[in-house]
Amino acid sequence: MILQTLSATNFMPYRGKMSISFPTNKDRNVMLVFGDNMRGKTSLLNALRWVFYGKAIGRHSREIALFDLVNSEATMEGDWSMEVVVTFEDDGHRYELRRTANKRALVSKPTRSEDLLVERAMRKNDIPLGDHLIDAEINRFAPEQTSRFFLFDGELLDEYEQLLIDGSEQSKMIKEAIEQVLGVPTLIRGRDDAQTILKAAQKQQTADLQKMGGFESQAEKQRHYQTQIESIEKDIQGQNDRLKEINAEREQLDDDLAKVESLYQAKQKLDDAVSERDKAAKRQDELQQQRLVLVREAWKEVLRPLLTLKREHIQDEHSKFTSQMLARDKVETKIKQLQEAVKSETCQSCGQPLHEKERVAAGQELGKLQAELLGFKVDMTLFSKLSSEMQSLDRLLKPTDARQIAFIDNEVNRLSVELTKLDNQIEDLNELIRGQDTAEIARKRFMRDGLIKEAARIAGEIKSSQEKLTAFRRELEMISKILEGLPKARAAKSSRLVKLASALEKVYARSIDQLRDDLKATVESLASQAFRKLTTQSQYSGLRINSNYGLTILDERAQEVPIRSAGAEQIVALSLIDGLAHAGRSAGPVVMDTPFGRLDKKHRANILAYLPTTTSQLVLFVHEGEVDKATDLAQLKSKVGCVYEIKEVGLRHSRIERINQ
Amino acid sequence: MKDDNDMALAALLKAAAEIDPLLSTELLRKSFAIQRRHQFDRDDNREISMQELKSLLAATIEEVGST
Repeated sequence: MILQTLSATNFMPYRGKMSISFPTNKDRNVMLVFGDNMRGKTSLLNALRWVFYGKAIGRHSREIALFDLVNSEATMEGDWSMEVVVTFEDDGHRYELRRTANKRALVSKPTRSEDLLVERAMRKNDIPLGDHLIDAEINRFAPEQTSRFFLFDGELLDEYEQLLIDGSEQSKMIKEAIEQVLGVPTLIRGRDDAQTILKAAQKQQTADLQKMGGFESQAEKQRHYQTQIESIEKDIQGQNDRLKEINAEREQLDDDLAKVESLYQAKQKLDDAVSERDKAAKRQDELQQQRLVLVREAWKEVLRPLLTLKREHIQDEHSKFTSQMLARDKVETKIKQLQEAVKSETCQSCGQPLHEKERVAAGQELGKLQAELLGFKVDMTLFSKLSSEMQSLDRLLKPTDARQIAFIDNEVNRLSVELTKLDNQIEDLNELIRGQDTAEIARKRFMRDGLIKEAARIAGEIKSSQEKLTAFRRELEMISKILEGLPKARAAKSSRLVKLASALEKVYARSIDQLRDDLKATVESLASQAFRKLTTQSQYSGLRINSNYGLTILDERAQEVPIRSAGAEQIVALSLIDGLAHAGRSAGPVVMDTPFGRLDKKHRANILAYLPTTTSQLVLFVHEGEVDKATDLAQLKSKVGCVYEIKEVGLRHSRIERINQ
Repeated sequence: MKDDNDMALAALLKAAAEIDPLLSTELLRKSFAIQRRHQFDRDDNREISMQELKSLLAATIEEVGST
């Protein structure tokens, strides 16, 4: 398929009519559309999706309501008409596909998607086709199930990482999409159709056997197992439907919760801030109480310098008295010793008799000391008074915690500032979540957790039902084998159909596994080839595929590289997509929205050099951070067919202009 | 953008050769063509491919019966 033109009227930010032409020269097959964020790059991708499949995809892969697709500036002026037209060529035929939306006849002002009427029309070689033929035509060259690989949203590159996580919902979804592009559904549908025919044929066989006579027991057994199988299949269908509902409900909650995540965090912050404020207020109260107690004793601090001086003075006096008393005690002791020596004529120190001369000297010394003793006058009343005063002063001067007051005052002030800050923060947070039901958010979180558990429980039930189903099918097969050995039963038409349908079902079932194995080997090889062209790391030898089509990088020794950067992720994802494109279909156009988000210059250059060689047209919606108009464009010059730029007219109005000829 | 499902057909023929070599290759090819034509049908058109396959099987049985 070769895209030729895309035009749109009042589609998303494109007020009025806009139109672009795709490059049709195979040597200059690259088209670049530059646009800043929020200007309408993804809307161009959605214009293609909407015209082909009647849907536009927003964030988290959610469908955007039809009502929101009509340009809001136009609707404000009462214009509810929207149209997208794409023209293209395929297999030598010219096509024009047109999809329009208009308000319904009896609606004066639409308020919901149902108020709009969507119509589509296709012309093939200028001849209008009936509506019932349009899907079949689209499915020939651009089936919706495989569209993610040619209408390609850069935001979804992250999803491919999920393929490395076994059993995740997203990985199942992408695996299914991958298998769609690779043709696995052809075989799955073959198996399922053969199974449906087989079941009906088995029922007919049971009825035929009963009519024949002699086979009542086999017919009864067959009917029993058929009833059991039908009942279990119904159970499994119900369980699968319930599982789908639960997963859809959980996804909705995930989306709701993602939207209010900032709000939930604000609520958490608010709760923390309130708790901190309560703690700070409590601490402030405690400090105020402590301060009151300290203030009660604080007057002493005022007198402390004076009392300290007074005590020093008294201490000096007291010390003088004490020295005098010690000196008098010393003299008295000496007098006592000399009196004893004179009286006993014996030395009190060594016990030797005193000679006369020594005895006279002792008498003289005794007299001198007795005279000295008379000089000691100690006023004991004054001494007691001084001692008592000192004790009183010591009590007063006992250290108090009054100095803590300053510290407490500082702390109280600090807490006041903190409380003010917290109060302001609380007010801001309250403002942020005012009108939002935080209890509802909490309910949703718990509900989501409950749904995850319920989904796991149902998955367990499905597994057990499937095991029963396999066992009953085996029993039915045994009966069929027995009947095959009986010529009369074997000759019945229904028995021949059972045999043929059963054989076909088995072959289709086996071929699904066979194809999956073949495809994995092929995709691994093709993706590895692309990866080696795209990566800037020469040590990487290729990629290894897992059962989900998840790819792991291999180093030069063919060992898996466990950790890879966001940029490497992107390269691996692009390699997978390229591998799938080549394994599943012939080269067609690829439209990529913001594909270079995380890539450095060298990787970008590799991609820009490689992808134009593997696609019939490469359309890139980029911002200038991804592709530099001056440098990258110069390198690509020989391959670029046309360049457009999206310009902002107003908040709800963009226009697109061609900037090269 | 045509799907090239040759790998799918090859897998089908290979599986048949392994588990039921007597199953007619022509029947397999014809049944595969039906499924390939209807692989992207909407669920409400699911019946069509099944009916086509049923007719094919009935015709095969008739043909074998008549020979």
